[in-house]
Amino acid sequence: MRTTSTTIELDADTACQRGCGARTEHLSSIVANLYVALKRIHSSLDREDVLGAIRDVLENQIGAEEFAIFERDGDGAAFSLSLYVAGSGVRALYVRVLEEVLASHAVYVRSVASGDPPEGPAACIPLRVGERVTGIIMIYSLLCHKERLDPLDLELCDLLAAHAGVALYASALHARSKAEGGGR
Amino acid sequence: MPRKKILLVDDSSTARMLLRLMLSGWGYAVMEAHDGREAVLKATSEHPDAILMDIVMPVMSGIEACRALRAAEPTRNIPIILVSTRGEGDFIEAGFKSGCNDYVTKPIAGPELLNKLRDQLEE
Repeated sequence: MRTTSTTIELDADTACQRGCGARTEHLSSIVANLYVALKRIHSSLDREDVLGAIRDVLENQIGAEEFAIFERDGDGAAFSLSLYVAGSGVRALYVRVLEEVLASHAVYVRSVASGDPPEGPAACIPLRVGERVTGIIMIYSLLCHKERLDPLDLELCDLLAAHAGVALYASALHARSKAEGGGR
Repeated sequence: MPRKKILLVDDSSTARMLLRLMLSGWGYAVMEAHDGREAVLKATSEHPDAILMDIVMPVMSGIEACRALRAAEPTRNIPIILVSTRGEGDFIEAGFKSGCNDYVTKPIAGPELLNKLRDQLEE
């Protein structure tokens, strides 16, 4: 009886350790992804490097296939296309989604269960600098083997919202500073 | 016991940084190459225990590099896991036809990659 109960306890401990090990591995993977995305986005003050880093995060870490980055023109209401990847042509801006994101400053993720049209964007990420939305990342579609955004992807989208705009803003300031310094 | 060496091949510095972090955390020594041609050169000179290789790269693709590695005696038996954003059946089939041992799609799931690596390294 004693041996049997000890065996059961050991089996339960082993199962717990395996479960804890898997969970630790999963959490480590999330932390690694967030660390790498953050480090890459802030690794350069060159605008093309920053755009390249954002693209890398979208392609390699989130699994976006077709996406576009729009940036606001100065202090106005208009946005210009800064980067577009894949697809057969520039897509619509999906005004309803855009207005929702600009108003809420929050990441939009398509939810067909909630009634979002399946042909709409998979996600829309506001690029924030302080209280302003200075740009938008529109993810039109995901890689064919990726059905939907998972919790790690949502964390990465939040990270992009908080940091990608700041990195682009810093690169613009840096470029302006260099230009002014070169003019002296 | 010396650490097993993994050759990491990808033209994306983000992908290399992420995989390096994961592999180092799992106890592997990591070497890097930026394209298929560099991968073939490093595999020949450094004899890694396994290779993780992207498919779409400049200079030489992962598929071409895989074929070259399989054609050469010193690198013929090094386990190769192709890592790619392309998850379509014909891409995966092309990967296995080129001689890879396994295939992982991006975005990479750490636990899945670790299991496949351990399988190839017989750990």
